[in-house]
Amino acid sequence: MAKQHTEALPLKGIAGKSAERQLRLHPILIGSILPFILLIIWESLSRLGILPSYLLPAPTVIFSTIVELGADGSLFGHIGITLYRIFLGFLLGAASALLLGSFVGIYRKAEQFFDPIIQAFRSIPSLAWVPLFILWMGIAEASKVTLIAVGVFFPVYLNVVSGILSVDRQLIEVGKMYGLNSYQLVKRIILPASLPSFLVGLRSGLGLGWMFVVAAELMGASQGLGYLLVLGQNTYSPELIIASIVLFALLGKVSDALLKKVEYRSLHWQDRMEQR
Amino acid sequence: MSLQVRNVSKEFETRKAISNISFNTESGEIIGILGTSGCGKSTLLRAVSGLDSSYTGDVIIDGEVCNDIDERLGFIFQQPRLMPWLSVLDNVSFGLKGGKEERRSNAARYLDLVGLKGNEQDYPKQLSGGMAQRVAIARALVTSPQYLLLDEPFSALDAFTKMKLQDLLLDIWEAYKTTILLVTHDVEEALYLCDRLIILKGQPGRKDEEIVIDEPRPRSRGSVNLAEYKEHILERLELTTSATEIGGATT
Repeated sequence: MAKQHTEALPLKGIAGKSAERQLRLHPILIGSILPFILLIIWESLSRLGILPSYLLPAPTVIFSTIVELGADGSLFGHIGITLYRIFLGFLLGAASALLLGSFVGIYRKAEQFFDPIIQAFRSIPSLAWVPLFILWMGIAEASKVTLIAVGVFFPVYLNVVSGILSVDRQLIEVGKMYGLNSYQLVKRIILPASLPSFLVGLRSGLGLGWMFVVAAELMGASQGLGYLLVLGQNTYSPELIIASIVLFALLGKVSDALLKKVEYRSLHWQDRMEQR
Repeated sequence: MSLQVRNVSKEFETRKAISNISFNTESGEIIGILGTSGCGKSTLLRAVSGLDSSYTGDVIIDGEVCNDIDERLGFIFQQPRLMPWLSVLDNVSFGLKGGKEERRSNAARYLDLVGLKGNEQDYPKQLSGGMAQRVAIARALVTSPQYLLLDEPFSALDAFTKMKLQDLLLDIWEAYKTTILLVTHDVEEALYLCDRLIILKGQPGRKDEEIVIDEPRPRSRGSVNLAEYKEHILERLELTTSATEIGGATT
């Protein structure tokens, strides 16, 4: 993105390096203008009493709520348990999706055997599992983690399978020409070649993971960001609800950025549009 | 040391691709398989390589019938077919066995041979078509195959790169005296490189003629003698090309 703007450089070329740095910042600055204006409007409307504070408190109030939670230490407990749940669920879901997906992708017979039932399960809205999981595993961690894992599983699985099925047959022939056996073909050609698709699956899986962690914590938890949502609703404190939403947004963004970084690092060999 | 092809035929579901093709190679010879598109040249080469094992007839390598992939054979495809996630060096060492260091130093030697010293750490996306094909050549050579099978290896390259790589191939051949089996539809390329030509014609492709190119190396691309061969071959092929080119499907 930043690259596009360097084209304007020759016009302002005299200004030298500092101008270049300013131009690089441009996209972020441009993107921040609207949120900033909205925040100011929101804040002033709240201060003027036009927005009722019992429905929509001012941004500064929300901010201080977060600070307060941080100050008494409970914030980190909530964030910690939520991160723990999503991490565990994500790991379980992604790992089982990778295993089963590779198996189904590589063996045609396994595809015929497993794929119909997996597709059938996929058509069940994952939240419909909630009552059953609670019945089976109780309201503690196990049912929450399982729900998140189920949510993460499908996007990862689908991407792994389609990634493997679209591996270039020509590359596999090269491997065959060097006498690689099936195991080596999988390890040295099929898995690396389907890595891009797998990583796309991980990112959309993580997105769903965040969605399901909210659902899991809404259905009954004594700690976690989702619990703060419920607590805020029960105690008529919208600032707590919004604070929790903001924290979800931040954590979601950060975790996605981390995955994106991993993706960029491990796919540097790809010949893509966004890389010049 | 020789490679013999004996009565090889191949049928796809709906049609016969090649019919009863036989020829021998002698050690260190460059054999060209020449024909118009759709006559089954590549099919024949895939059968010889073992990539396709559902043919009838025998491929005999050094006296033993061989129906499978064999490490004595190296294959250079029409496209470079490099692994995009591997560096140039790792692409070349792809087919090697043994320790990493040993493989890499071996690969580096062959990269030098094809004129790509200094590009070891590049990735395929950074290479031009000619460079990528050089890497593919190095990758095929690094396992020191006794027979090198080439499937229209230079047909996707521009004229100048093509000539350079043809000369590179000849240099390699001089150095290693590998037996080379070259599939091509380029008559000039075949005449410039090969000791002997096998002309395939028709659908299914049959061996039409075997021509020994009696011209000392180094050959001149503009040689009058070669031009006469060319005229003869074109005459031979054009008799049936009008019929075959319409149906010409796979190469």
